[in-house]
Order: sequence, then structure tokens, then C-alpha cells
Amino acid sequence: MIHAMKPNQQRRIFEEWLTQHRGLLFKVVRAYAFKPDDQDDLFQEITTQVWKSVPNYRGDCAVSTWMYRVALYSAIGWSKSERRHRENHQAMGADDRPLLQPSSLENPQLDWLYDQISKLDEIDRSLTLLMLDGFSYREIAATMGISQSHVGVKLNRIKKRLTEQSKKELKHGF
Amino acid sequence: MDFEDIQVIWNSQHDKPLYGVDEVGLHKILRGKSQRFHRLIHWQHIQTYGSSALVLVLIAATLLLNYFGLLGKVGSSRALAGWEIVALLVAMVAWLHFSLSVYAGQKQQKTRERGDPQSLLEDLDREIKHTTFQIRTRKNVLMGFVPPYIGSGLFVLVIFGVTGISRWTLIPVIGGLFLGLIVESRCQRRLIDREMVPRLSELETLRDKLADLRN
Repeated sequence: MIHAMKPNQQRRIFEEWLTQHRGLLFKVVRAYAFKPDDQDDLFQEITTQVWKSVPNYRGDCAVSTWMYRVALYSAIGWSKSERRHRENHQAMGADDRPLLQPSSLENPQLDWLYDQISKLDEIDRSLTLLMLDGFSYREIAATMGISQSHVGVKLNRIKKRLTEQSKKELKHGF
Repeated sequence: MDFEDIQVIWNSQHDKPLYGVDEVGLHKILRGKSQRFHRLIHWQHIQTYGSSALVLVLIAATLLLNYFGLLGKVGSSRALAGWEIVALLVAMVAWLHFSLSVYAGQKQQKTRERGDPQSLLEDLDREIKHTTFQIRTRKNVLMGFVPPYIGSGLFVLVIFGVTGISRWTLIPVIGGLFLGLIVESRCQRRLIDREMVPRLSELETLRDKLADLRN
């Protein structure tokens, strides 16, 4: 159990987590934010929340599960506030900050998959990411705070939807 | 396509980094930000050389007018005394020393930074060296500014003497010069703390992150 953590210790753990699980955060960012500027913004938001969460980690689940939980909740919150913000402020300037660029540009199938994930609602997006990253229904239920049966129903629908969409796309060519 | 195929697509992203740094874009941003910084430094050098040139011309003109016996025509009540000539020469040396030491430092730094860095990391290294040099130079700025301020004090002392202005008037002028020295060194300190140190730390973090990503 970690209590009253010293800032140095918190920083060391945070940097270790970030180094080991950066990929996980990028996946969440890509599923919830679509413009480079938004992706930067969401990445900042998630890392801030991960930093704050370090002292609360009690070791009762894997670090990756913990980080996924923090990242998904941050992304869902960010997504909702961003939507409200966009409704109130139209036509934000497309200031493409070129610091990070997806390196999967040559992978149209992966782009397609992220595109399909982005069309789901915020909760389903989280469920899909967790499922695709191999989390069990029990772990997904615990992470998302819903029942296992509910997770099963939702994931079956998502799987069906994704396979149907892929068949449609295949007909038209990827 | 079955769900297993979709899973394979998902897993394919784990074979290579999810995101890469757009070095070209980052390089452009770095060059843009550095240009602003270099303009600021360039402006300070212009001020240094400009003020040095002005004072040196004034002192040289005073000495020449005195040499040709023309000081009386420009408002002087008498010719320069021997000690006053020495004081003006010392003032000239002080200002020359100041501007030449700035020039020598600038030249030395330019020699170290010779070449046109093509890669982002090379450019970052160059900017780090340059910023470190600027910080180091300005840390002892109070001592660096003492000679020109002494030179200016001597020049004012001589001019007041030959034009017959009361020596009491010297007190506020010397006080003003002293205050100017303090303000100048404070301004340089603020420039270090607010511009240069954050810039250096930003550059170093960026270089470490880039090196980390490449490894």
C-alpha cells in the first residue's frame, strides 16, 4: 500500500509507468481524439490524471489495468467536456501541431479499425479497447463498474457490428 | 472478415511504435522559437556596440577638440588638464574593453557553433550550447558592466569640470549611473530567469526525450 508518498517516489513510479505503458495511452488517445491538437490535449489530461492516481494505487490489480482505468475515465470525461465545448464554440482553428504523428499511416486496416471504434459511444469505445487488448469480461466489468453479463451483451453487439462493417468494407475494398 | 481477423489487425500495431515524432515539424518549431531568441540577443549586441561607439566618438571628439584648441568654441571654459586627459583615456579603454570582450565572447561562441546543423538533434545541441553560453556570460554581468559605468562616470566628471558645471551636480549623476548599473544587472538577471533558464530546460528535456525515443 502506498500512503503519503514523497514527490520523488511518485515521480519515479509515474515515469516508470509511463515508459512501460505509453502504448496503452496512445491507443486510448487515438480512440477518443482525432485531431493532432486534441490528441495532444487528451494525452496531457490523461498523464495528469495518471500522475494524480499514483498514490492511490494499492496493487490489487495489474498496473496496466489501473492505467487503462484511469486513461479511459479521463478520456470519457474529456470527450464529454470537449463535446460541450465544441457545441458552444464552433469552428476551432485547425492548428495542426506536428509533434506526434501516427506511425500506422501505412496500415489502412488499422486506420479503418480506429475509425470504426471512434463511431461507437464513449463507453463502448472503452469496452472495445479493453476487449481488443485481451482483458477478461471480469476485468472489464471491474474496470468499467458494470456487471459481467452487461459486458458480455455489449461486447457481443460490438463484435457483430465490427464484423458486419468489415464485410461491407471488403465488398467495396479497404 | 471474422473477429479473429480484426484482432490480428489490432495486434499488428504492437509490432512497431504507435506514434513517431515528426522531426521535420519539430525542427521547424525549434528554428522559429530560436529565431526569436537570437533576435533578442542580436538586439542586445546592437545596443552594446551602439552605446560603445557613441561614447568612444564623444570621448575622441573631446580629446581632438582639446588637442586643436577648439574646446572653448563648444562651451568649455578651459582646456583639459593632464589628469583629465588621462581620465578620458581610461574611460576609452574601459569602453573598448567592454565592447571587445563582448565581441570576443560572441566570436568564440560562433566558432564553437560553426556549421549548419541539418538534423534536429544537432540543432538542439547547438541551441543548448548557445543558451548555456548566454546564461554563463550574463551571470557575471554586474562585474562586466562596471568598466563602462566607470568610464561613463569619468567622462561626465571631466565634462562637468571643463564646462564649469557645479561639482555638486555630479552627485545625482553618479547616483543615476549607479542606479543604472543595478537596474541593468537586474534586467539581465530577469532575462536569465524568465527566458534563458526555462528555454535551456525545455531544450534539454526535448533532447533527452528524442534520444530516449531513438533508443
